[in-house]
Amino acid sequence: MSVVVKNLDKKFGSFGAVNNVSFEVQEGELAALLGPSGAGKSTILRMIGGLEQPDTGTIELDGVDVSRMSPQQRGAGFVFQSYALFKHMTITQNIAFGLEVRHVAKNEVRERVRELLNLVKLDGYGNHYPSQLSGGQRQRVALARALAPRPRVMLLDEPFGALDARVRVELREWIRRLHDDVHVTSIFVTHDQEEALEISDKIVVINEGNVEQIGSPSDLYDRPATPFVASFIGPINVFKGEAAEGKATFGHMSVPLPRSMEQATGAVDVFIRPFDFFMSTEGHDGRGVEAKVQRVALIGGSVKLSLVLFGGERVEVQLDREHFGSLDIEVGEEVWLTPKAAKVFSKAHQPLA
Amino acid sequence: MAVVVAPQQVPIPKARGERPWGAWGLRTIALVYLALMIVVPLSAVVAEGLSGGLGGLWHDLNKFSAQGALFLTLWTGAIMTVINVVMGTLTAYVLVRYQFPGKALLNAIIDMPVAIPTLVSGLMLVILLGPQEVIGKWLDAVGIHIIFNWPAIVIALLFTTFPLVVRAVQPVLEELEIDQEEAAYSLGATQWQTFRHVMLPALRPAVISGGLLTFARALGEFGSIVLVAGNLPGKTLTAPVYILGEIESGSPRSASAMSLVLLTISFVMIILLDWLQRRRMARRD
Repeated sequence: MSVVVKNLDKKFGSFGAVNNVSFEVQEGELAALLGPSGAGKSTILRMIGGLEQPDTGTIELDGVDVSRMSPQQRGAGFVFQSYALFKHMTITQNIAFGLEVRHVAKNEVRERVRELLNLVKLDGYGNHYPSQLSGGQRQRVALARALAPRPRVMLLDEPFGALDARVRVELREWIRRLHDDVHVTSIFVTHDQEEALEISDKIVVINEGNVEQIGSPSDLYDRPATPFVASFIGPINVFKGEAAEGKATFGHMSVPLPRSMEQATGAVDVFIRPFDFFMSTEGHDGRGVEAKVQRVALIGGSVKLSLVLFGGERVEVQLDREHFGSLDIEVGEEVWLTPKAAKVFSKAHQPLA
Repeated sequence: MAVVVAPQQVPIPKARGERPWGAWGLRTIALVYLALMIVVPLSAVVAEGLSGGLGGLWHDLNKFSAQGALFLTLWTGAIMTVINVVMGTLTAYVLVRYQFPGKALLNAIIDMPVAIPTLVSGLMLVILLGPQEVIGKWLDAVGIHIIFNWPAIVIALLFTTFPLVVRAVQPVLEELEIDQEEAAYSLGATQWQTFRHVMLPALRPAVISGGLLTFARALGEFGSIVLVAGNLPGKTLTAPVYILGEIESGSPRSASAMSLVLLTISFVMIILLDWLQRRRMARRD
């Protein structure tokens, strides 16, 4: 079941919450709507589910325009950040609700509820009430409830938002595995880039109601289309520089401009990921720049270094632990940095590299 | 080996400093006030009502006018309570869930019937529906007799008790997250199924306590009814109006007997209300 969103517009008063948003999600994909809070991601999701009406634009489920259909007719399973479980019903009654309102036969309901309790690993919790479960368990019940009527698409609005850090990570890995088993087309909203990068097949980056970029996690990470995407997806260093003679120069460093934009001149922003620096204890080929190590932090298998360039700019560099060990650097020492890869954007936000 | 630790004798510090007299003084004032204002008058009515013994009580109540009045009060109160529960819940729902021009004004007007003297409420209905007035004349012409008839009692009661259910249900509805309704819709439930199975269970305690309050209030309503209904025994004479009649005709014992019955019913309702509220509190989380 595919989802196609075309030119969606939604205003709240004079505030344009969603502006001309279009994207597609293929059958069986797990897609993320990623963006900062207030970007309009939830509004888009709610419009797909029929909980909000777009001002203009269309939503197609499997090629059928559902833009004017009620949520009941769309067959979309919705999972809320707040779980929205029916508090006066047991877990079994919650999961059965979507089947009972459709008058599914009793024994069939019982069988489906049993199957779903097993799927979400809550066998034996059928007679509990939502208030007796933990946050992670409640969200699993909400998932089972939404899956019960076999929805054509699953819509999850910040599904991990109300959970604490450890449960969040567990639950999102579990959701990815669940998605690989059940294979229902799913769209989830998140403001956490790590969450989106880790579990989704496709990410739609939303900022101020606009689509910034659509792509796979590696597309967005390696080839950000806008400065916003570059700085929102993963940590990154930003330098102000000048483009001239086929190079972007910033401080004492420079990177070549891409072939297509060799003639560009003027002010540019240069984005370099912490992993995209080559570090050595001696200068070489004149491209590198000297920097002083201010802080060293071990993060699992890698090492994060904070450095200060001689121009006073701060730089974050990340190295794998083995490489760091071979360099034998300590705080206060001076090293040479050479950018290995960079994204260059002109002031008009045109990607140059 | 289990180690049993003897509970230590810790001197209990005197709560709120060294002013036991202040605290006891307040309590004494509150209790004496309660006794003087509520318990003593109640006892007086109970004593008067029972002054002829249970036989006397039965004798006082075993009259056509007394039983008719009590019966009329109960069934008009019951009909009115049902209507008020339905319409009050609906009004609360509309006030909480929908936006429309004049909503703030409507929200303010709802409390008016409680603030208006009930005699004035009665007067308004007489002016509106009386046989000399436009609407009353027209209704009379088509054979509908409201004023000085039982429908007038129901209408007067509906007017005076209108805010009770609305104000009981409204805060509970406001607290109820819209997420649950939306979840029900996305699961395919119709609006009615959602109301019936998702919202109503959450609202039920509030609806019931609003209903009990309405009925209890209806038992004692006098001012509005006496103007619009009159005092025909067995037809439009309600229990409170009957009590006035008995006092005016010099039989305070008979008035007390009826009062005792109304008191008992009210007391049972208040106990029930209290129990419901306690249960609701206990159920939270």
